[in-house]
Amino acid sequence: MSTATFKALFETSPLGICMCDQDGYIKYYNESAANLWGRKPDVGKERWSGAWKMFAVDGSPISLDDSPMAQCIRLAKSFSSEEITIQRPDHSFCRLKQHPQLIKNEQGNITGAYNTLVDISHQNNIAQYQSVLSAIVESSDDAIISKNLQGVITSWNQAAQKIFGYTAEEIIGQSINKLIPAELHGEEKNIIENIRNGRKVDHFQTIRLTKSGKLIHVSLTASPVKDANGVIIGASKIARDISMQLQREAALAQSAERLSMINSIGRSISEKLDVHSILQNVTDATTNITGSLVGAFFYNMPTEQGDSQMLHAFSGIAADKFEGLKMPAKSKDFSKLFNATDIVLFDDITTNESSAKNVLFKEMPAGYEPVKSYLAVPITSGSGVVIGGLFFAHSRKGIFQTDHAELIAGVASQAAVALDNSRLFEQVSNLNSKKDEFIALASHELKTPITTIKGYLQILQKKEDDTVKLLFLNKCLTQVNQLNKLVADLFDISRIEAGKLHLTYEKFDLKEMLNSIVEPFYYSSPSHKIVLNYNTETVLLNADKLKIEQVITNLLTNAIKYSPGADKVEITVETSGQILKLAVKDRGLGLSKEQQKKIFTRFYRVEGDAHVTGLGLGLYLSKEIMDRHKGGITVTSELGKGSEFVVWMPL
Amino acid sequence: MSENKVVYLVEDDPDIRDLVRYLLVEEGFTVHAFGTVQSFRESLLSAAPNLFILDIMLPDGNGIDVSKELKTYSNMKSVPILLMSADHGKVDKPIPESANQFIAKPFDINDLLERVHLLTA
Repeated sequence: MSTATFKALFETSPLGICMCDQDGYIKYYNESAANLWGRKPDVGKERWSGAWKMFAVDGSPISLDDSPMAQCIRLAKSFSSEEITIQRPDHSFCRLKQHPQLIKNEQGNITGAYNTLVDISHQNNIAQYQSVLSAIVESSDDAIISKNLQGVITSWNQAAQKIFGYTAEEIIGQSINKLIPAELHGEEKNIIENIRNGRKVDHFQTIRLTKSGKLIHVSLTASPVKDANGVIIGASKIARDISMQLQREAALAQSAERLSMINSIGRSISEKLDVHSILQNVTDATTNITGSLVGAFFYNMPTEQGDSQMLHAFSGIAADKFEGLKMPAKSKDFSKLFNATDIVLFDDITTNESSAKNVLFKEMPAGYEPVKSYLAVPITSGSGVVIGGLFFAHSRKGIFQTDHAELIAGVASQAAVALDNSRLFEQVSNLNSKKDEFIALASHELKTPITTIKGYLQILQKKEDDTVKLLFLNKCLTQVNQLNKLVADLFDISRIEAGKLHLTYEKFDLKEMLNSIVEPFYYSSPSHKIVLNYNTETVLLNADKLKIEQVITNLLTNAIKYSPGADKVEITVETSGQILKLAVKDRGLGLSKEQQKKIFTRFYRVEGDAHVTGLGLGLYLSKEIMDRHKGGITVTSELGKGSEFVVWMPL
Repeated sequence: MSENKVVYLVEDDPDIRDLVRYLLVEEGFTVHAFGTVQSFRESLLSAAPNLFILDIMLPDGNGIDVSKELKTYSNMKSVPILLMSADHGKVDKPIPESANQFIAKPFDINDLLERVHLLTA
């Protein structure tokens, strides 16, 4: 090869080449060297290197006299792969590998040196970049695994070791199937398929197998890995251990479920007023919530006679089998079952023989494992006395936690309140029916003497000619009738309450009835004129005649009674469409808004007038009668001006 | 006038019993009055009367039951029956077929007499 060829080689080489003499003066350099240095040094004038500035690998500056080239001449030694960094005049840096070599003549004397400069900045950047990536992968908490398209594991980070248990040495080169439970191997085929087609698999929740054989919940993301030509050569998988996350989610869901259970128990308890339903509902719900095999509720209910009765409810497996087992019969047995008023919780009563002496469920029915887990929650009355308890048992140990116990305690206190309420309600109901029974009996008894008095007075009335004596007899009879009316009203009340007020329908002429009602008032209340207005000729009504008569008489009596200063009462009968309206209007005391609201209630009498007689039942009964006829009573009134009562009903 | 018309009366309250008896005798009726169902049965003659007046609440029985029973006797079944009751409610109910009329206590004596005349006419 000729010199010219070698020269051309040097000139065009991509590697930087420069030469210097034995004193270090630069004799020659190629274009690549000039590019690397970023400048063209003066030949023969500058020494050792064309670099503007030089630095060691660690960043410390190197004077050109200490450059690899200089060291080569000085130490008469050739070097290779000396890494330095040079800075160009434009302040950019370049990382170089230098290979300074001695040039010797035929005699073996050093005549100079030549240097080959290899630009490794690019490589260096890549190296730096790679080491950053490496650090990221290693420091991640998620397992980062790469595999080829055959499913062989090619990389394995620290987290992967932590999660799966295998070291990198153990697992790299193995099939990824080692991590996948047998029944899920199909998943891997699927993932590879997606990867081959350039598709990412994102946040796929599944189960994987660790070295110790344990199954764990993971969330996987797999992405295709391409080579420099864009060909997919494998996949990188990130696996996150989501067992903690799943556990937390499950716990939240369970809390939410429990809260809603408590809510619904609370609602159903407060809606129910009968003791047995409350007991059963609470027992069923709490047995369910705690996951018990059996649950029992014992409640010491005070009875009317002053002692108490033990009620119970069972729930869970074989609830009926427990009915026969021996259970605490008296309340003093309760104190033995609890430590004062504390909750009793055992993870395993079989390991705690002595303290588990007073456990309610010692045996399970045949076919079930013996009791291990046990929970007893006392129910205390308002005064702090233990009046009952909720008991739960399970054949497995460690079933009940303290938060179960607290939950149950919360339900138990609500139950105690509900039970109290139901007892009070029963008491009130009893009293109420007794009162009604009494009223019915009393009014029945009262009629007998009234019958006698009225009968004989009437006989005397018939026989009496003397005006004065007759007047007295009349007065007596009027009062007896009044007395009778009061008793009848009372009687009606008790029957309304008992739901026994019957109506006997018959057709009658309302006009005729009004005439017969109004006539006696002509004699008894001469102070008032009663005016009758009709908008039709005849009014035929289908109703309970006696009761309607009672209503109209009541309204008319009231109208006169409450208008002592006036002289007129107007009765207006109107039929429009299918409705009958009868209005009784007076110009009397009137009623305030407050009074208007209350007048139709039982035993209500307008205050402030001590002369007013009667029990105050009239309007209450009238309203009841009209309601039963599918009609009603309304009032419009102004204090001081008067009132108008309107009864209406369908024709 | 109601010569020889016979009325049987069963009423446990002595004053009311006397009252009704007095009223009817004044009108010319012959009245057999009893305070219990037992004494009524023992004294019931085979000849049918013109009217039975029965109180409903009796110490040893019920006026309604008695009236039902009377209707089963061939010689008594056409005799009208007037039931008396202090129990308001019973008057509200439809009159059982076995009785012809109800009257509520306390009654108006004129009303009672009117009905008796009507039933024994």
